[in-house]
Amino acid sequence: MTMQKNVTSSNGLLTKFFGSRRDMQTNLTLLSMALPGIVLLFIFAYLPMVGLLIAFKDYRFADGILGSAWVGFANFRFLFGTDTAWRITRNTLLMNCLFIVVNTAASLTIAVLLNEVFKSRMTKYYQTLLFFPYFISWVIASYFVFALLSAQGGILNQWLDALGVPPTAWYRSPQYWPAILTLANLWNGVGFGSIVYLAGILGIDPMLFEAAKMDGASKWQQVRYITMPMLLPLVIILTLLAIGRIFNADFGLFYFLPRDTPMLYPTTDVIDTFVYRSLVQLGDISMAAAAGFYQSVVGFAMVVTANWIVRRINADYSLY
Amino acid sequence: MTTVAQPARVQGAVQARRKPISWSNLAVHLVLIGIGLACLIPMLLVVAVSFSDEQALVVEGYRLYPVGFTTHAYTYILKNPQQILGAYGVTALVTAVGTLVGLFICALLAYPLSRQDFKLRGVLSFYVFFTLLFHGGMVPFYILVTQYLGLKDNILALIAPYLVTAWYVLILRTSFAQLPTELLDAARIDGAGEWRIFFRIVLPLSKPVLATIGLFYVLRYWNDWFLALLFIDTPSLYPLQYLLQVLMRNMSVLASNPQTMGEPIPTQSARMAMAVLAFGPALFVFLMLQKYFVRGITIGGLKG
Amino acid sequence: MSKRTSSLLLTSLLLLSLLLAACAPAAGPVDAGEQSSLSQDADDNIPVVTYTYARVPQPDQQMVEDALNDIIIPEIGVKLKLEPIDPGVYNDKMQLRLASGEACDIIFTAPWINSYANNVANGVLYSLDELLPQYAPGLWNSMPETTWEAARVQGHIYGVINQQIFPKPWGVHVRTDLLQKYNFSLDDVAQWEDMEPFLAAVAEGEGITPVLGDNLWRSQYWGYDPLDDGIAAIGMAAADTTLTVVNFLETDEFKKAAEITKRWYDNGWLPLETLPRDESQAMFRAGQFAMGYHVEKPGNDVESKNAYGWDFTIKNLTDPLIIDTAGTTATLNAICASSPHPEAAMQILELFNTNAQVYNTLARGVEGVHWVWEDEANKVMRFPDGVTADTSTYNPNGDWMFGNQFNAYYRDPAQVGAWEATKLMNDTAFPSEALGFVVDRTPIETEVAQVTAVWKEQVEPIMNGWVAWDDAAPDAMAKLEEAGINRIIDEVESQLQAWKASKE
Repeated sequence: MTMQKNVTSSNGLLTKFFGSRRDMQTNLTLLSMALPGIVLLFIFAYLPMVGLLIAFKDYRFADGILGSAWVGFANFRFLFGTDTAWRITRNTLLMNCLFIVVNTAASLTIAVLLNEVFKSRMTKYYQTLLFFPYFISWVIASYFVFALLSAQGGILNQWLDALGVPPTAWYRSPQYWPAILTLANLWNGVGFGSIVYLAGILGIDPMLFEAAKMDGASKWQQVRYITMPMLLPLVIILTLLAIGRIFNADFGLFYFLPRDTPMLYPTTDVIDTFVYRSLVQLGDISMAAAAGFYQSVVGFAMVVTANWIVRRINADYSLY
Repeated sequence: MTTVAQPARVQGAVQARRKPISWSNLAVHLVLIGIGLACLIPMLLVVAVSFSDEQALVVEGYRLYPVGFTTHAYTYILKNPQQILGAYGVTALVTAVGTLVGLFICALLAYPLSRQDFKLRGVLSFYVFFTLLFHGGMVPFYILVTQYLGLKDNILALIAPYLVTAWYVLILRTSFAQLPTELLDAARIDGAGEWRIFFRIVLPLSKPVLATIGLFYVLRYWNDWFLALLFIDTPSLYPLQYLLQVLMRNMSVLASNPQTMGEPIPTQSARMAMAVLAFGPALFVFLMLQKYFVRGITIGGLKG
Repeated sequence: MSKRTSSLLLTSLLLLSLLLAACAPAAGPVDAGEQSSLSQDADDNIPVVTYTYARVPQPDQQMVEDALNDIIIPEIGVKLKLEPIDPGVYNDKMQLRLASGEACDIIFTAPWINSYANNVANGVLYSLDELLPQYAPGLWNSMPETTWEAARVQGHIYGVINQQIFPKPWGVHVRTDLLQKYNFSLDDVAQWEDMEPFLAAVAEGEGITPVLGDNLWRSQYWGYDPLDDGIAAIGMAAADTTLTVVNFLETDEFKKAAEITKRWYDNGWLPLETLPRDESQAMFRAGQFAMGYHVEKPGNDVESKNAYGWDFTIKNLTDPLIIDTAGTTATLNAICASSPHPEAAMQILELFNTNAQVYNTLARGVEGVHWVWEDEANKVMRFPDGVTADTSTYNPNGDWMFGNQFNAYYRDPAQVGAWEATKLMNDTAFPSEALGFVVDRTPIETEVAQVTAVWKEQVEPIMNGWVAWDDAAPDAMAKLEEAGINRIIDEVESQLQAWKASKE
């Protein structure tokens, strides 16, 4: 507060920018409110961005970030020199698309079902249970998945065996993993999604349903012609927000569930796991930085596009 | 976090559709029960396995009930109870301080960004948003915190980096922007300053979304072990998740290199017991607060 | 960082601390944090040397450190500070510290954790060429010059080799009870295939998967020097005087190993997939396997019993034993380039490796507290009465990390003589033509990363017998070439030739 007083009395340039004296006062107060956050972001987010330089250097521990030799785009040339870059990009995008579609559809369905029985006492318990997967980390979840899918005594293979189907080595069959990961992600995220959509449904004017019922509309017709159209804006906004993040994969899901199995990389290796491996297993800091840089730039483009679209639909929902 | 009155509209919707149980409702319940079980069973498995006998697990596999009931896994982990208790303390402190301070700073940053008449709105929104995507990487972050901020082996290093999270700021901003402007304008005409408006009107009206973001903070601080991996060396400053992570990793290293004959390490059950110790308290808090939380999302969800 | 940036930082910091002080009185720093220990001891003005290594910190850490200093300070006037880091996070922590230029004195480094080659390439280790003969003559003379050559990279020694077993006697450890039950003797077993009748009988009779393991490709068993454990795809025939580097996948031996593995796998003698170690260990304990294969060094029957709970009979199947660079440098202690007292650190390493009392105090704790003599004449120790491996307050359980393992006291009367037997193995093993050659990975770093990725993804399935060599090898070969294996071979070969020329 004292700081603000000092600044106010200082110069006229500020008045020029902010307009009237009163506006300036307001703006400076607002700025002072934002200041702690701005400073923290500067320290913990912007200062380390010096590290983006590493993507263009051959990082050597003894020489540090500034002292290491420049190599131009060599790290990127190498990254794109093999099909790895293409593969991790494809997997990240495809899997995230799949997640968005499946999770939205399932969340909407569950929200509609919850709404059907909303007055029931059970609903409270359903809502609680839907959040339980949130408390189980991917590391722990990976042990269940292993107990289920392991070739050596896994539960699923025992069942298949009982049905006369020959056992499958799941951890060696990359073709099944998009489905497995989608299911796991659904299990983890559907609770949150369905609660948000349930909120949307509860927000719909009940008069609309009443009127429809008077006209003899069936349950399905009510869902089809009232619930869905009314929820559409919410669905679109949430989807666009998700598209904005489409270039960032859930590291825990993609790293722990497939147990970092090289044979599964064709379908499970995503940008985030690749960056981690370059860093930790290969100790190649420059390569990790290059892949991270690539992810940021393309992700940035995606968000700018998504934001542009959101803004056209409803400026209130835009990110910036 | 206090009780929030449910909007009349929502209650109306409930009232309007009250009717007797029907076959279709029963079907809906069955489906929901199925989904609920899919969420519940893994949780039960964790608990059951944590009380199972290691050898029996190998032979029989995971069961929904403890096979060969034993608390060996817990006695193994709690061999050093002060350590676990200390870790709970560190985590509780970090979570409480981080959540309160973080929520406050984020809200303070989000509010100006929600104001149409704030001249720096566009620039600062972008300033916040940019950090969502561009990261400098682990090494420069480490150098900054240890060498320039001098926070190595300091509990502040577990709190400060997560205080401002761009994603939360953007959600809060969107939510604040939905508040009825008439209220704010009226207060301004009455001569209230921005700080007063923020504390007296904006924050109280935003309890649901604050509760939601608050829970995100709680979970984030509670579950974090990454910052400790980077910055903490003194065992007495280990937060819970990191301690469990370290115990788990050490267990497999030690098991692979036995020079002395000790009791066999109950790796599988111990892993699950650690999960129980880690999520148990968080789950308890969630169950206590879930009324507000679910409502927070329910109402916050309407507003994106 | 420029002056302006730092002053900006300082201002920001000030703001931050004000902020935290204002908003959260409870959030004050709990611990100001110990300042770097790499300094002079204020009281006695003697250098303090920190030893950072990968063991679980023990409850009696301080007592042992004090006991060590009681010996070390009078001897060399240097104070030792122990910094054990949990082994599960050692690699992450050390790589981050070193990458950020943090100072250190003595660190544990190896090809498989806190990578020696990587650390040398990154310039963070101190060259020991002059320090070794001057400050650690006992250590320097305890191993022949050829052994030291193994730690030499680009003409300089950067790490102290811990003496232990150097060759890799790949062989089998088999449950003794099952050997007796099926009346099978290991005496006539000379190669992997000779185990097959036993495996068939056990699979049939016990209904279990007999072998715990993944594949039978162990380069030394097949007569190859792997040159660099970090580059799995290449090696050199140990006896090849022309020093020709080969792509393992193209060798007959690799093909043969893959074929035997496939046969075992198809017969159900190997697990269906690579099992996590803790899981497989529990399964072995529960009797679901009959044998495993490993480095069957003298005394491994005791260690296997510790791990799996059964009585084992062991047999080495590698003949001749090959001594190569990778095996010689399996564990090292190195001095950091950033250390303010490299000489003092060297003196400490001399004691670790030549002073049995220092070594055993570090590895086993204080006599009378953490261990007592069982048989002092034969150097056999045991836990004191009422103390077990689980209740011991100092049991870091990693002798091979601290120094010359031949100075270690035995833990079990059955082990007496194991060090002599090991030493004999070291001395009689057949030295690879490339012993002492170390690959400089710097010019081929990226190719190595790519080839390693292809190896894991394409070649390991062949190696593990999951797919037939004939079906998958051609494709994998093409992928390896695409990833740059030929550039690696050419580079390593030219380095080898240069190395050989420099020796003559």
